[in-house]
Amino acid sequence: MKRSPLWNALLWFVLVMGTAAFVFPLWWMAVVSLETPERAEAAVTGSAGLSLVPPNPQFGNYAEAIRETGSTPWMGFVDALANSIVVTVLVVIGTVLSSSAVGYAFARLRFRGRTPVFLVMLGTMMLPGQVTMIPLFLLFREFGWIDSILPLVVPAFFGNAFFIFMYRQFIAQIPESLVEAARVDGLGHLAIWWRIILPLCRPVTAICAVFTFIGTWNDFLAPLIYLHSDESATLAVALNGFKNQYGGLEDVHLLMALSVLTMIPCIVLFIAAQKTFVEGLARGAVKG
Amino acid sequence: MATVKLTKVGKVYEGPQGSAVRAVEEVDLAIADGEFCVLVGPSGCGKSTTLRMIAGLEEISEGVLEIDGRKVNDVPAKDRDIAFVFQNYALYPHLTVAENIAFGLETRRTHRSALVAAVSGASGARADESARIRERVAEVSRTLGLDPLLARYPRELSGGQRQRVAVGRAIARDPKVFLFDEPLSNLDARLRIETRTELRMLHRRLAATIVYVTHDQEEAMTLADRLVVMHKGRVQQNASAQECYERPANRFVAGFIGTPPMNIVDGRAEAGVFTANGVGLPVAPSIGACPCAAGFRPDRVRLTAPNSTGSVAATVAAVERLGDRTDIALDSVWGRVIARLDADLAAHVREGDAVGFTFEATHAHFFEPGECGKRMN
Amino acid sequence: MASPPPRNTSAIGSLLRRALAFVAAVLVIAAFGRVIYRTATAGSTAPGEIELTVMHWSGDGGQEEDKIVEDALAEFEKANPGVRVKRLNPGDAGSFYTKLQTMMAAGEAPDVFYVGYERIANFASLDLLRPIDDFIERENAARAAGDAGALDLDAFYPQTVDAFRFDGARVGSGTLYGIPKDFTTVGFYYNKDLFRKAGLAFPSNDWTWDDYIAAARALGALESPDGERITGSEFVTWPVMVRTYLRTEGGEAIDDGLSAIRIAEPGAVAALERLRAWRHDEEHTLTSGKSKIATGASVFLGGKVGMAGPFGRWVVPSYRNIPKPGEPGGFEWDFAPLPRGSAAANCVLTVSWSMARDTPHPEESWKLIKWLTSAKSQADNARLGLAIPTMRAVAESDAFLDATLPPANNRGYLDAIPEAVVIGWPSDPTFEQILGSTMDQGLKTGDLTIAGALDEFDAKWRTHVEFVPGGIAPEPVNWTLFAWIGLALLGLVLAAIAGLLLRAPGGRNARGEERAGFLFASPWVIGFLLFMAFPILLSLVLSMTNWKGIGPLSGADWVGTDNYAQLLARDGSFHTSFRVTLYYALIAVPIGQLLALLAAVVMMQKVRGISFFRAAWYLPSVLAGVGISILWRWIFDSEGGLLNRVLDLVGISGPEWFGKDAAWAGPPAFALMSFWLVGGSMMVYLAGLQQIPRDLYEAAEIDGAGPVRRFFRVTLPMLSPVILFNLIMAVIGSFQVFTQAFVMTGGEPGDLTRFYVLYLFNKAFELYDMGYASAMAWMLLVIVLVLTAVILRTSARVVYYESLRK
Repeated sequence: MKRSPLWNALLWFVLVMGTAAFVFPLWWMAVVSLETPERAEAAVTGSAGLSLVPPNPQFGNYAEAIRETGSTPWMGFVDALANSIVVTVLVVIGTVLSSSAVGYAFARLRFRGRTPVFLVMLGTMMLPGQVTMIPLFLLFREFGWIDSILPLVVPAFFGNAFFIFMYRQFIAQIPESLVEAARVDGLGHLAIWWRIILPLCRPVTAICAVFTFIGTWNDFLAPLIYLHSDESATLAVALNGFKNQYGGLEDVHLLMALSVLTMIPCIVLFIAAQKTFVEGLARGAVKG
Repeated sequence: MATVKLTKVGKVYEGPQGSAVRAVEEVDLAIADGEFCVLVGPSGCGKSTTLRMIAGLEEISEGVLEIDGRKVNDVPAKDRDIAFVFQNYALYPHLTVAENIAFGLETRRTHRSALVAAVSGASGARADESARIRERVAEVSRTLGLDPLLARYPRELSGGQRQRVAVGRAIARDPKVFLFDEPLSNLDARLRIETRTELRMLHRRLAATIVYVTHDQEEAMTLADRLVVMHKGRVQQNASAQECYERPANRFVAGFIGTPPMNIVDGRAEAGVFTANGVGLPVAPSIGACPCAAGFRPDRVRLTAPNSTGSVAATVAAVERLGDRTDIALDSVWGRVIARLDADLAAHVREGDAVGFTFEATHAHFFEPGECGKRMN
Repeated sequence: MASPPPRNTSAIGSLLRRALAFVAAVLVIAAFGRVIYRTATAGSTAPGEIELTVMHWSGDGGQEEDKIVEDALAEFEKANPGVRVKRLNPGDAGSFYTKLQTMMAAGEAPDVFYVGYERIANFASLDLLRPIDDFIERENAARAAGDAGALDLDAFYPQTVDAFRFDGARVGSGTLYGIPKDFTTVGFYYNKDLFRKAGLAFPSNDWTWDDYIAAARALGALESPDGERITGSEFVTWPVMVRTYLRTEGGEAIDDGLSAIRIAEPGAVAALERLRAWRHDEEHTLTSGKSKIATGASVFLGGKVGMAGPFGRWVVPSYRNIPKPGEPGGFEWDFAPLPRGSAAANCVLTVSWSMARDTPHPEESWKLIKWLTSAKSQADNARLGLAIPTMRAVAESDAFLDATLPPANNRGYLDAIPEAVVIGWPSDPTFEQILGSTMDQGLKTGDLTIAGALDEFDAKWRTHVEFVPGGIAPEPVNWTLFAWIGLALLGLVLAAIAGLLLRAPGGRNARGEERAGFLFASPWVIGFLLFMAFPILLSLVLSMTNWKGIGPLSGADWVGTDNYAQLLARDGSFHTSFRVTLYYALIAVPIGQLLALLAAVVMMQKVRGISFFRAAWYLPSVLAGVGISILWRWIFDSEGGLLNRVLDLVGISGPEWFGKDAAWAGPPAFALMSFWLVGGSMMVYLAGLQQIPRDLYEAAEIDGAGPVRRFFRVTLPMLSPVILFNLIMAVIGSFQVFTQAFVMTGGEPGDLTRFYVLYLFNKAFELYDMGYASAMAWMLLVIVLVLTAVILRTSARVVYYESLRK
């Protein structure tokens, strides 16, 4: 079907304007983060025009923002970064392993009670997390887990309803005979899951891992509640603390610099996984 | 190599509300060492279920299964020392051809983990084992001509190549029994016939015990040492292919084996005459007076002039010329009857012609009434 | 359509990918190394060594305050070998309290920490602070014995010490809970250059409100050199400043028990009305009517505001960074105490160093408090300009009065002391919160009249005070009963599982498979029981208690459905938060979903480089978090914010999103931000669109359907299950807004952006009302379930389920 030129022009207009609206704020943020304090202040208060490129980029802003994060120079940032990485990596591993295992059970293993349990699991997707927030806080306090990464990490190893569902739908499409072939070849259920199912689930795993990574990296409420000392704070919490200390106009360049820094891992991951992730999502690699 | 013996084997599925569906009933079967046994029947006849019970992929509800004289009802699939070739080949998509072939060997290796081997000082033994596996893969791929494909992934292979890899994977482990579940049905007709021959040759070379399931009776006949015809969960006949063709044990086998299928007409035999719908033809007098069905293969049908005595009047409904022979569909009071003639004999026959037909009485089969009526003569 | 990329770029790509993977691996290993190392070495105090945790803030004091405490602690460590001090600084006072209170709720309070005088009653009544009278007695005895280093309370300004006494009912007398580290009186900072330019005399220490407003008007008539209008004055409406202001007009009346603070005196109404009029009826007199995001001290820095206040001494360190007159952006400035109205009044704002009730090291903590409040520490602090020393001798010394640095009028702070009082606060912090939010609505956003705001305050405070869940003498919660109920439920579940296991064992294979099934499903089942079922039930029980979140559960009383009744019938803030959330949802969900669907349709077009556009549109969704919230806080700035500047370009004068227009523009602002994050929904729609078989479109085209008809007759019906799924998820999500609101506005102004979950968080972790918050959580669950049920019910006829039943 051929599009009319008018339609084509309209399409391009929408695409370009949309892209500007989606990307420009981020660009502006990066620009402000590289300005001198005075120019940054002028940029956010509107007393100067918009500049699309900082005339005199101050990369030192980033060093300064890093130095001033947390209460110990340099190490405050290092610790926050390390915490975010450790928490995120563990949560991703936990979510992928547990969700794929449970998804495998729901898709392939016949056991009594499977259908009702599966339905209950679907129902929990609608549960707002805040309902369990207070009792969980109490529970983890009893465990003595406050101010450690455990409350953030451990629940991930018990599966996530949404991803379990995704895995189940995907595994259900894997031919039964592959599993039977593996059984004849001498694999038990654990080995079938590990050596056959998980490798075949790569498209789902990619989406699950990226989603989980982004969700955990950006999570704020849970670390805010569970992590108290500066050393155990994640980047999101450290950034909020930084905002509280440097929220003023005169430090807006530093604030933007640190904000950009906290986003870089997600941006890099997004770009690196763009093909598998965005296209996979768009193509409906996961049928719902 | 091994023998396989089934004694009164049955499969019962639990249906809704406690009802039971019997998919396979009382199958008795003894397969000799090195025998090529084909289970054949229409879809839903229980042949695949039987095969999967032999493999250990399905629970055996009733009866006893022995492999090599050992009862294996409760032995899991992986410990039965069988190989299974699936209809869709079930090649692991994330492994190369070589890895697919080696997979079964790898899972059975004694020295599983390189780390453990290194720690326990058995790394030499592990290396030997790895070398043996490599050697075996090479051997198998040579046998099947898979050498150029070893580094490829299943998605990069053609259907025929995949099929060969699936066979290779089965051979590699050198199992006691090979089980094939419709391995050729995903191939196009020409390749199917080629591969059929190859399989037969392979069987001779390996002298392997093979249980093979197919719904294609022609394929079954060409391959089988022993043909087991199944219908509605039961064995209808268990004999050589030739015997199944020449002396079908019942009406079902008669109708199932042979192309085009045998003509079977319901009627009554009395005093050497078989009568259906008021028209009779003489037959051998061995059948007593009773209702029965007469069967005669299309190549035993003779065309006669219309209205000649001792024949059934018919109209030519369709003519299918196959080159050396011609199949003619005839409509008559006996219903639709197929005749197979040499091409030159049928050269003048046209659709719509009025003809008569008769059949060679000595080659007629008689069955008791009913779908699976027993052979009477 | 697109030609395959040339070989070499893909080689570079793979190289890049490999480099990236390498960097990522190194980072991950280093991060684990760091965390493991830290965990291994943490708490490994040498034998005989103890560790004290100290927490403070540095809000307006900025980095100077941070440095002061850091240095003082370092010296303390040097002077006291064997004691290590771990320092925490969460930022400004607000986040300090959030953190302190979550830590206290977790039973992990720091040993020594700041407590503002306004929280003393609250903390003391919750039994969180250790009384220090025994230490004072010891110090007195030591002094009598001739120890010159002993602490002498008489050397302190008496108001500052009394601010930390609490007798169980009100502040001012009774048990002492902390030593004031410093204090301040308040007043206005003024730009001397602008005063000269306007031909105004500098304010005297006994100036009046008439002088003040006359000056503000005169200043407001000026223009800055770059042609912008000068604003007369910044006037912050924090609760304490409002109350102090009222005192200058004799307008605040407090009864003995603090149970009712009657602000609605005629004098008070008139005074507040005056203030409101200055803000809203005059254009350039006061700034806070125009909510700059940086309200507060920093607006003064730019030199375009004539006066700023009422502030205490704490702004001085940052104001000292104002360049000298003559330098670019520089000007001369000074301080004037609070103007007089019908009476002279001022307030004492003070902060103590206090110690936690349960500190395992009271002796060392006391030593540290003494150290931090010693004459030497106070003098050091005073030199940095942050506050007034609480020791009279230090305050009167050069350490404070030093005239080499601005402000010149240091005397002004001290002159106000005689008329300055400690403003008493009820032990319940809700008072301050309600006063703050209603005053915001009356003075800042102006969506309520003064009388209305006062009525609102009165009503809210009264409902709050009168709400005694469970009545006068509530029963303690019968935890044994609930434990039995819980065990019974668990028993039922186990029995059900056991029943399943016992019934009709299948064959060996089937049993093996079943065992594997149980094994593989067990993570979720265990997780569900432990992290969902149990907490949900516990939360239901908690919602019927008055549990405070501090201390053991056994301290909780049973209050039945009182919490729910209060929420539904009386809690105005809850109603506001529900309204705000609903308002947001009504805008964000339908428009957001529509935009997402349209975006997905656009993304279906076959255009060169469409995958780039997909990625670009999706990118913001990947970043959503604190950083994005900070970015949007600036985008929504009413004056210079990116959004209003863009609106200006098309001739629209943007609203003051989180300022005076917040009542109608606040929630939509968050909705607007959520539109920026529609990428996620877009992707789900896109996946749905791609799964619609092409032949359906071809068939429709052959049947003569145009693009619009195809969209409505093929796309929408086929997509309807996806739309339903997205819709439900979006509705649930819209009731869970937290991070954006917490970071961007904190719920302000008033309660106008206090979203449901933010209010829940405030109640649970800041106002110590876990029982009440649990009731809110359960209400949220019910709301979400009802909304989902309604959507499912109403959609049943519209949604084409065929494609769901795959």
